[in-house]
Amino acid sequence: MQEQVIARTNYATDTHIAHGQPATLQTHQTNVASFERVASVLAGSVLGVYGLRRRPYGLLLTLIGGGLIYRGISGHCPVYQQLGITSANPSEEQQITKAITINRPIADLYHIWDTVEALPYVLQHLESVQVIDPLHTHWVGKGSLGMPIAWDSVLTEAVQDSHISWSSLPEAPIHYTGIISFVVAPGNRGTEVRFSLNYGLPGGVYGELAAQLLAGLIGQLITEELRGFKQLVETGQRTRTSGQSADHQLHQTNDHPDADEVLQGSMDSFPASDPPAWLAGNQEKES
Amino acid sequence: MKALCWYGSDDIRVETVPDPQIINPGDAIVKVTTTAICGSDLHILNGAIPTMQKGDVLGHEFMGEVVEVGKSVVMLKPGDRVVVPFTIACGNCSYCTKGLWSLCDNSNPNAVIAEKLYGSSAAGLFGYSHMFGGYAGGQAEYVRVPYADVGPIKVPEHLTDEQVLFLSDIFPTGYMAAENCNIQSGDIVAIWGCGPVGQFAIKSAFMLGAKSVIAIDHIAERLTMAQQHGHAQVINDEETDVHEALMELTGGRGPDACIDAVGMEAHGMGIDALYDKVKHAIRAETDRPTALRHAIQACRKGGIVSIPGVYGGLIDKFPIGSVFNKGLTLKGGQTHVQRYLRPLLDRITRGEIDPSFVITHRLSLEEAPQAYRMFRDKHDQCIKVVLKP
Repeated sequence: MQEQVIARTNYATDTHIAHGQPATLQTHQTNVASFERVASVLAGSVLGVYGLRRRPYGLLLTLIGGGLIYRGISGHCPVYQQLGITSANPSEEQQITKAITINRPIADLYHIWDTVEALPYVLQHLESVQVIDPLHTHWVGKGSLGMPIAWDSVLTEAVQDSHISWSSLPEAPIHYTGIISFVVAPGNRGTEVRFSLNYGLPGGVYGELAAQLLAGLIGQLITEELRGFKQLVETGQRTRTSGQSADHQLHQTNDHPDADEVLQGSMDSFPASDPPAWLAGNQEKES
Repeated sequence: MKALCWYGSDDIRVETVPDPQIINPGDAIVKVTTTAICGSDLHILNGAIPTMQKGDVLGHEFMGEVVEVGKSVVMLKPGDRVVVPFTIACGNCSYCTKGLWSLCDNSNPNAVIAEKLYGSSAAGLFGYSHMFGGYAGGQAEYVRVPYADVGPIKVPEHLTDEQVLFLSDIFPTGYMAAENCNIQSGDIVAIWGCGPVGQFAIKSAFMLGAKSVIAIDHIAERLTMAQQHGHAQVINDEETDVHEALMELTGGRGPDACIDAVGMEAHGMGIDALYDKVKHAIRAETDRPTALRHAIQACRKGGIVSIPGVYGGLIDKFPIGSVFNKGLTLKGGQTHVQRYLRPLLDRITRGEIDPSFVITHRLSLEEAPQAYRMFRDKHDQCIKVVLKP
């Protein structure tokens, strides 16, 4: 049902080209992010002092400490250079695309997404969308742990019955672009709906790692939202089994008392299976 | 209300659970008047179906009286007597609109689990684990029926519960198994497994024009039923070399179509069955496909192997060389029950078939745990049990 495309764009390379810096100058270029440079100096100082007190073996620690202090002050790390990585530049972007086929005409689906303030009625993880002006919107999502997360978007493109895209504001620390697109599915199957999200986090390699780790979760979230959207527009209701009859004396001792057992049974029988949806705590909610 | 709940492998009990409620506007609540134990329920009893949760209500063959409907339900009203298909279908997705009801896109709220296992999720099922939606089953006094305008069929008063109950699963399942065989004039159909689905497959194969049907099992009373009621030729696989016998009966060609009405927990004979038993026991193989292998091996060149028997995961030693070199067609899938309700109800109404012939035991819901074990162990010549809540 869905496809996942993860592509990367190396903006770091683009920056070098744009600034016209010859490659030879990059050998002693800053490749450590500023927060990491401060941390390097601090850690280096502690190690250095600790090493001086633990002679003679502490000498090695003192040397490492010295290295860290140099790395912090100069902003250049030879290890990073050898590994070909940097934490000083914007991280590489992640791209996630998920698709679903919905048995409804394009115009109906486009209309729903074109009415952004109504999107919280069809998307389970959206609290509200506030329209500030024709281009600018303020989105509030339902965060985990009960903390709402909010972000601002600018409309970058809207082509009737084709696609709509939004981006972060230029000054935002996390930059992203979201595109919802609609294509007629072949053979009277309705409409193929795709949602693509491009995003990058600050912090060079660390941001990149975090973005990659997040990609799986975000991808699953997009899939579930597309599925819920499909259920709603195809059947007028969200498919639910929470609140069904069961021996609740067992079920209510805590949230999922048998979760481990069921999961274990599941794993034993089918090594390929993942934890059931209800283990992640993302039970369906009434829109 | 009273309901049969699952607590673990070989641990099922009738307990008091909360009454079902309308959760979605398209739901109905049905007061169950008659329910049955299906062969596929035994896979759950044996712990062969993953993602069961303690306290889950079992059962997917049931019928009863509508007692409450959600606000968007228009086809049903309280007091209607209905049979409910075991496959839950929304009626609006592209699969439902093409009549492929058991492949419904929308009825499984836990589709993500099934997608990990199968690539895509099929329809939700009553009382058949959380991987298939976690729907509470119908071996209970009441049951919540989602998409009430789509699935349930109203049944006429002059037909008894026992005559129409099996429209919920086994009659359409046996019928679709035969229909999948694309039976042509003069065709011989071989059927592995003479349980209730096998019995209905025999009947259906004749309805669809088979010249003869050969039924294979090793339980005497089931073979007797296949012979006397289904008019099939029978082979006892404990006493006879099935392959040799089939070749002889078909002039050396092999059956034109073969039906595996056994599924994932086959009690096969021979070295491959022993191999499967060991691998299954150490969980290195999820399903034991003895019947399926034999069906593929016996099927004539260019024939069809139809699989109504339930499979859940992975099998070993699959004779793909035989499938390929003999140009076989394999067909399977959960039954598109909604597609068959009306035509099969018409056949019952016209007196062409009385599906109650498979019933051997009538018990109360309270006796369900013993009934399951009797059915599994084939004690007391048990073939089909119906339960009255």
